[in-house]
Amino acid sequence: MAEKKYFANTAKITAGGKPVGIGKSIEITVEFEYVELYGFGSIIRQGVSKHTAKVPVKIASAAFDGTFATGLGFVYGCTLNASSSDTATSITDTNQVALFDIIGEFTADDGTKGLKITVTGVYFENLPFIFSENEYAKFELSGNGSQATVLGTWS
Amino acid sequence: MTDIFDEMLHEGVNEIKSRIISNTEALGFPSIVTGDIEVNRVIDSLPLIAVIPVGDGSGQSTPHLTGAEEEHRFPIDIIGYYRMDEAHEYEPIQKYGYACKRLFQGDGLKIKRLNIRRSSIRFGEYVVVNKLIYTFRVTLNMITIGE
Repeated sequence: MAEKKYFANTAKITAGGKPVGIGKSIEITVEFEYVELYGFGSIIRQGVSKHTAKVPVKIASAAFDGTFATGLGFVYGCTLNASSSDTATSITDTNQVALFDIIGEFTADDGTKGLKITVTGVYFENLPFIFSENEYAKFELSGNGSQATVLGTWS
Repeated sequence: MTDIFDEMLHEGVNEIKSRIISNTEALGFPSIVTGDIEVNRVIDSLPLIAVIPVGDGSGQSTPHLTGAEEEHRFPIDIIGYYRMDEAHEYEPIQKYGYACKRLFQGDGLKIKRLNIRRSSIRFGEYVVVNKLIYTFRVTLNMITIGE
């Protein structure tokens, strides 16, 4: 498959199985932590290993469903409830964590479906409600996933 | 309800005209038109307020990452034309101008599905066909999201 160019505005974003309306941005990063080995007698690195793989995700939308039925509102409600499928209107007293799948589908500017990134096991650290004067509110979630799958095509 | 931009704009302009009609005494009992006017053609029917949707004929829209809706930013101009007898007497026109501006402050900031981000006011004084005309222009810088 050839390299493609992507204009972000054609993206389709799904969070917890719900399409995200009026998407403003999405950031997905695959991260590892590394341990490097150096020793006496050389300034050159002798070895490197990695551990602690994680997939930080940031997602922002200008649309919000206050009934938690659709879009990012659903994710907010599920996080309050510590469930991946059922929402609550206030914090459920539990140590359990709601986990979500985040899917970003990006179409290349030649119209081909060129990039699909799926992040699974995402938990969101906080639920911000930020309202700034003279601007539409932006609902921005920041969390960590456990696995990322990148596909060059999808159906 | 699908937010179609031109429908939202039409709805908002009707709301602006409705507020002006409801406050006609404070505004000097003007007639109201939509769109720009040529003052010399209507000089005998002043006072008059013209509501100009998308002032200067120019609006901007920004697409989002997902979906068909866009963020629209555009001005709405409200221009009041008044005939007066005395030159350099700004008090009456300022009274009408700020009375008009107050219709779009506080609880009035939201005009149906349109939102005011910023507003400005200007005043003018000039002679048309040997008649002294005072004007105010309230510009409402709007923002909304729609298709």
